[in-house]
Amino acid sequence: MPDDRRRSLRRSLAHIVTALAVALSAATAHAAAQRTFVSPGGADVNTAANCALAAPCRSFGAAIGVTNAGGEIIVLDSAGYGPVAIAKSVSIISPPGIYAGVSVMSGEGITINTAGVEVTLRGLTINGQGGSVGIHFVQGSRLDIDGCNVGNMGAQGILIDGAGTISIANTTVIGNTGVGLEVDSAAVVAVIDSLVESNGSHGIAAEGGASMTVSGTTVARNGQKGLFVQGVAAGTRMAMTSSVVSDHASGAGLYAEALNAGDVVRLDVTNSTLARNASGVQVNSIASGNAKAGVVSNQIVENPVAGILAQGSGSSVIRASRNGVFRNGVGLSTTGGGVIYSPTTNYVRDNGADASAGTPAPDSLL
Amino acid sequence: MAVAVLAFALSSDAAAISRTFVASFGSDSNPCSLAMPCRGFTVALAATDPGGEIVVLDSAGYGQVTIGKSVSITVPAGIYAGVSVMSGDGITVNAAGINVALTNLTINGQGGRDGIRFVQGARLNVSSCQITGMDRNGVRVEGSGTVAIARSAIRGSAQEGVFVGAAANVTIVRSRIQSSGGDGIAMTGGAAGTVARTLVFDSGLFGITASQGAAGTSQIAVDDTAVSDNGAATGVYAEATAASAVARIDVTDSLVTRNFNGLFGFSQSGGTAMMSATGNDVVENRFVGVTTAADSGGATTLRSSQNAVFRNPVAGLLQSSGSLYTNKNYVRDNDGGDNFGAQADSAL
Repeated sequence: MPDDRRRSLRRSLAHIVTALAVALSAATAHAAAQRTFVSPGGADVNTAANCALAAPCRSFGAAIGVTNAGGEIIVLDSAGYGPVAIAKSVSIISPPGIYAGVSVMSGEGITINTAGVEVTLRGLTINGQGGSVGIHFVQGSRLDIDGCNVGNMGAQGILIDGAGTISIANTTVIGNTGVGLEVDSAAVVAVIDSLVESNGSHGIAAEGGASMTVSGTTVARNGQKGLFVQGVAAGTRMAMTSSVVSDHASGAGLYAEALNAGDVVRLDVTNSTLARNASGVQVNSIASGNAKAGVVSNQIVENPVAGILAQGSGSSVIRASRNGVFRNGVGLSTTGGGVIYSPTTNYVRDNGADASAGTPAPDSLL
Repeated sequence: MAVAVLAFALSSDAAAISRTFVASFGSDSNPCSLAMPCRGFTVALAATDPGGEIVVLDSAGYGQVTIGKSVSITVPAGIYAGVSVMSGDGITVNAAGINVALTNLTINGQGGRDGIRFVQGARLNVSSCQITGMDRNGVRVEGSGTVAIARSAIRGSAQEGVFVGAAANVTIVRSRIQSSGGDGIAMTGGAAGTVARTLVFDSGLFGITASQGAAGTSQIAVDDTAVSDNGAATGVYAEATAASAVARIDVTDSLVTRNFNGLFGFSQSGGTAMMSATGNDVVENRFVGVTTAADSGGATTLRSSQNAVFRNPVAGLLQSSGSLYTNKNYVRDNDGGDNFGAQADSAL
């Protein structure tokens, strides 16, 4: 091949590459909107128009592909929008008053599984129809769940098993087969103004070094414990305030355990009502575990086994003050070497027995 | 005569009306009436009578706006009204004496500075708003006035979630202030604040602070609030650092956990820091539960009563300097020691 022809071929190839590059960059530019929209009248071919307000898409899965990182997907009208795996920072927003459903026939409803992403889910109704987990945070930086309803899943309603900062507000987690809300990682989690009810296993489980704060929340009628807190060497921590935990017939309202050597578990509950559970608060440990609870300013009533129960070895220590403890099986109960300290500030009456022998251990205020 | 009345009514309507409308399908050349809505807040505002309302008809973005008259911007439930803030501030309130209400807006920082900025005015009511990802503050109050923030969520502000730097009266209720790069809620410059039933979570520095670095008084009352995981600094902090500067915080029935310190009052250089804490759970903070310090000419008084102070690793109660008074606190399991220098006080 003569050199000039080779050169011209090379030149035309270069033109093609340039044309391709232009086409690609056009496609990229066009796949980028700060705000995208979905609607029952939309169509997923409208990704070509970036799921714009005038040309909305039909599903979350399509819309997320054309939404800028840090952008928003807005639900325009009530409909189902399908499960979605989220791999970028994004907010999915269904304004109050609009129903945005995610029916989960199999697998998971919403999965967040990319390092560093910040995700907001607002106003979604996630309904299990054979699916496993409603919202699954595998990894990411932050997740905010606001005003969502997660129910009828085959496993957990919400599962957090990666480290990150999670907030859950104004959300209901009802009727899931497994744990309602399970955190099994060193995540930092706040739950506020929510309802966790009628799940098959525990209402809320904190494990694997989680740090949780629960405020203004009702946890009722779950199959096992209301709140289950399991220690690990790095420590699992639960703090609850201004909440209600009731009607756990076969488990404690709040339960903390350190059952392996070196496990650390911490449970604090204040300004809350613990009613009609097997026991109100139960702490369980082995001698080489480290289980401590603070139970302050609560109403603990009508729990048929015990109001406050420290069981297992001497590493189960509960400090109780200014609680009303009425009409439980045993008001303040210790078994094994568990210890309940009271600085004579609890009002304990009308229990089957107000306190087991030697309980409470005396303590003083400062 | 009838014609004249009609003409008057029409012209009055065209000039300004008490209720205007915006919609995704509106146009800014419209009169902003229900039948002919406008497209953005700015044009609708100009068409609205002082004291009138702007109502959002359907979901869309409606743009940043500077408000210079009394007005309500209302987004009914079921509608998303977004304000993306690429630069500058999302909503600016800036005229003397005006009353402004903002309901159910979603303000999303995309490089912009403040979500809602109150420069001056008489009253501002922020209700059910979502403000995320601002480069400076979610809500910033720079002028005196009465500001209420209710049922709102402010997340991911690069600096303070809510910053008050003037002699304003600011109430924050049933809200969430989360993942702020700086403090969650900071009040200074003569502010008087109330924080109730609110979550202050995952701030980079302090959870809630009242500070005063010049003559004047800044103060906050905190009730039934969870101050949690503000990792680098104190959960609830009062600081007065100048002559005749007074900072006060009163906190009750609140949960203060997994911050660096729980409660801390600090003064220096002639400042006066005063705190009271009653019926709180101050647990599992990473350093000290309740503490005071007063440097060079400062006066700090913290009165702690009926608090549970558990498992703060360095100390439960620590009077480093200043005066920390204790009455009927339950202080235990603080590894470094339950009490260093707190002074027993009596109840009546």
